[in-house]
Amino acid sequence: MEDGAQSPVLWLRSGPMGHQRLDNDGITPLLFLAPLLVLLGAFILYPVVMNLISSFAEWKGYGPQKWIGLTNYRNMLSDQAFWASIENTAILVCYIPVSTVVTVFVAALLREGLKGWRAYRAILYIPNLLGPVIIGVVFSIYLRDDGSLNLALKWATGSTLRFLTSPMLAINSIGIIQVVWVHLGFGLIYFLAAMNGVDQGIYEAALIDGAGFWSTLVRVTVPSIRFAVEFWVVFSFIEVFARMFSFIYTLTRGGPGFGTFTLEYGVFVQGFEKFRVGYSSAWSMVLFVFCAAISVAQIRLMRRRSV
Amino acid sequence: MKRASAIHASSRVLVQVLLIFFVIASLLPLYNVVAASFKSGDEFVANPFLPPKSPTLDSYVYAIISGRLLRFAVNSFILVPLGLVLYLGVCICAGYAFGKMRFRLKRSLFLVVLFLMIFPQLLLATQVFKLISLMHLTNTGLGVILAWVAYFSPFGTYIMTTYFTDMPYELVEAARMDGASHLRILVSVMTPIAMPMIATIAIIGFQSMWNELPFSLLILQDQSSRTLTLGIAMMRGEFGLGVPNLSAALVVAMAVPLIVFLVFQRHVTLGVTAGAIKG
Amino acid sequence: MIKRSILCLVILALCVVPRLFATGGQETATLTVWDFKYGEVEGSQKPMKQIDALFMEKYPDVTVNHVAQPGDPQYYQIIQAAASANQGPDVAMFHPGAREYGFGDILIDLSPYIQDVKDQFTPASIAMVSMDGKIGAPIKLLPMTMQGFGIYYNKDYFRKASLDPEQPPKTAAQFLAACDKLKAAGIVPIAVGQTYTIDFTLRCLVANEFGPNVAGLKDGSVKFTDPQFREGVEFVKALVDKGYLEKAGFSRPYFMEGIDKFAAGGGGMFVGLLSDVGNWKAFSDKLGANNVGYFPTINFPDNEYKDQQVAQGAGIGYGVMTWSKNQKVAVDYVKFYATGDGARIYASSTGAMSPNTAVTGLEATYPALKIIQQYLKANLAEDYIPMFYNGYEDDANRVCDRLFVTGEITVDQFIAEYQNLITKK
Repeated sequence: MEDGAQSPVLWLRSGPMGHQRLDNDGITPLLFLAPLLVLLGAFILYPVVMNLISSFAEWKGYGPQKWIGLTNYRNMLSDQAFWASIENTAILVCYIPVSTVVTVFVAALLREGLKGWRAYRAILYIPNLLGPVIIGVVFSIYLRDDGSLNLALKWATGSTLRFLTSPMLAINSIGIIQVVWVHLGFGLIYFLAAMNGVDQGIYEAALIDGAGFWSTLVRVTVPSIRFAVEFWVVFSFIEVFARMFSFIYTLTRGGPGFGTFTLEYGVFVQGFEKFRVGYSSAWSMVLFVFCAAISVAQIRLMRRRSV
Repeated sequence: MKRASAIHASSRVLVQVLLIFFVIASLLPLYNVVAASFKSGDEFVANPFLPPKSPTLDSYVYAIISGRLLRFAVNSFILVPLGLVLYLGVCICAGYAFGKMRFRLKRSLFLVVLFLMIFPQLLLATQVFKLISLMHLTNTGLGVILAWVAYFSPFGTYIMTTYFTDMPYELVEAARMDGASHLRILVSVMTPIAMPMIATIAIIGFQSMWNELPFSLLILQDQSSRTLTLGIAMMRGEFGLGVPNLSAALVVAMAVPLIVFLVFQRHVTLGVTAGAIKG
Repeated sequence: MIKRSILCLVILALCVVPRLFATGGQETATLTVWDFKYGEVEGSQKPMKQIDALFMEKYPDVTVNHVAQPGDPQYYQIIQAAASANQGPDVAMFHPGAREYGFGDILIDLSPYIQDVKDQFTPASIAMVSMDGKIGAPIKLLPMTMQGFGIYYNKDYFRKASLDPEQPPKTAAQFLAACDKLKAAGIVPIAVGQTYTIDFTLRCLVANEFGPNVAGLKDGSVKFTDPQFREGVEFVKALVDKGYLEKAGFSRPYFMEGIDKFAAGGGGMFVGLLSDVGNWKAFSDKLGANNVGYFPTINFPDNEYKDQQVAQGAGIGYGVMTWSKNQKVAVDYVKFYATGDGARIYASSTGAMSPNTAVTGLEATYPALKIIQQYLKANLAEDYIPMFYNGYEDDANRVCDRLFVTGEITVDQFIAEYQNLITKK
């Protein structure tokens, strides 16, 4: 790629290959960033710091906090809800590679300029547009023991699946519906826009060389949008760790039992159903550490592969 | 955009089949919600998924009149576009700064932005409300907009950053050598090129703000200032809302993001910048 | 870009300016009331509007700003946020019990103001709205409804299944036999509304198992590990295994659907509530007042108590917030809803049962209500769920899920976990 194009997170590396020229743009960048930083500082950083502090206390969300050191964290480790949530979150994370592959594949398909690709892209975006509440309500109807999916299954195979009442099936259903399928719509918009920014000449060159769909995909398309793919993976992690709540709440309330109880759901239950805000903050710190660590780790992984 | 396709003719059929499958899967939920919204409560109990045998507008009447959804819709119509304007301004500027400018703190600041995206909204809600009330902006449009932009712009910034980064630096370099300021470059050169991504984040930003619940729930305390999404949440009551009524309300709610999407997605196109990059 | 920024600033200014000139100089005081029932347009909103209008007639210089809020748990999130900012409504609705006690420090003590009406309320309801359920402690809410659970049945379906519609199945053996007959007649024996049905059933059975000693669960003098509880658990498990409890109902995520199903004739029996939703009125209005039967619980031969009616002295009530600048009017408002005309309008419109003994209801036209009130008078047993911590019901339901719905644990493990929930906190 050209000299100036760098992955935003290639900068994480400091080393002899430093492409970071030392000529500075002065304070102009900070002016451009000021609105964002001010807003983030006040509305996100400050609450996060407050949460970190309250994770070492016993607090019901208002009034005085009672300092209890690491007790919240210790309780967390012996809480079966916590371990269930780790397991469930991990299962959802496994759907991220599935989502990435499916999304890039379908985007590449549409990119070929099939007739009506715009219509496909628009229609496939609809689940994302509908939002987690509607999707949750709709699938809570489809996936019931006497729902349409089971009716179809019964007609085809004679038996039914307990999508919503079996913990394993429930969490996997959530993975498939929310992580893979709902994000597909947004992914198409995003990747098609990203692919748009790529020099189209390389595709012509590949065609002339006689490359088929698959080799073009693997050897031309993906490398040229590797930063977009990297973004997609990081974005997916954040979605899985911190944006699943509405859907899970609408579909299963974290149940049956602890079947779909994720870390994020646990933060909610502890904080807003039990009003143990200190304990809830401890959970959220764990959530943050996991997600941040994984994001940084996989960024470094991708960066190494691209270099 | 016409170019020779790399897909063999035989696979073409398979591809179409796959896409049709996806299309059906995507349209089914939409159909379901719309169908349910035309059923009466009793009919829904008997017939949850086939088309309504005796369609009725009762649920819509309930949603719009009793739920006073039109009033709330007006509020959403005012607040969300305004929020979107601020959101776009913040994201584009910040994205450009991260993507094309050079300064020492770039790495660390970007990481901070990335990490701050990780926190679930529920966690921040109480503190955000406290801040808003300290600023005496409770129940104001400004308070809600600030909270929304603060929460949603890291994501938009990240997207714009990746896009601006992918742009060849030559564009900037050439303009800088001509003596243009960054502001001018951003406005005249980068923004037009970045239209596809800007349209993308406009769609997402609009949708996010339209459907946002936790912050607006706490900040907008007056009946008259609430958004459409809040109005629907309030219809829930203590044990939940019957599906037909809920469906009618949701259909009303999602009509607008759908229109916004259809309008903006035309800008998210292929091949627009091919010429610009080469030249 | 510059033009755009200026445009932004102008628009933002337009946002702020009108708000700065918000309500200035009022002659009337505004009473802000937060409520999770007001949003129920078909339910509570109608009578509440009426009552508010009457109140404003009586107090002409007060405007009531009644705000509908979403239900649990968002409702308490808003309350918590208001508490943290120390500003919010004048009056707010609460669930007595753990929820109320948790927020006790932002509610004022109503005792000095309600001496004139206190005796109208049942002792059970006053106890429940007092802090920590102790009589004599500060009273933070005035109860508007009482709540409870019991089993409704469709008399028509009983006839169809060759069961006597006037003789409900009182004992465990009779109950199983009735389910069997209903199933044989092609009727769903017990309609199900998610795990709540199991939750409610257990609460009905516990009333017989521990009776008036149920408060002993708090200090350990009575435990779930005692044998009577096990018998009840195994009974419910049998109901699930035999398919008498409609299995498909557990995959329906919304309790309201269970209510709707029974009301539409989708089942022979239903474990419903006594007050304001899913109650005698809702079912009688849909199935016919003479078609709805009721019995409070199932009797086991070795239970010490029989036919106990599980109830919560108070279901919902209003309280006055400590930061309110209109406390006097707020207290009057709270009293207005819980006594006299206000209470009567609310009860008769929604089917809620008021714990205010001076409020007479609609017994004449609703036979089911008459039966319920007889049981309430004679055999009231306290419900154990609100006794413990905030969010206890949710935890209890999850454990129920794991035994009755997914089968992940055994009956022994269930009992151990169920007991553990109340001892470890």
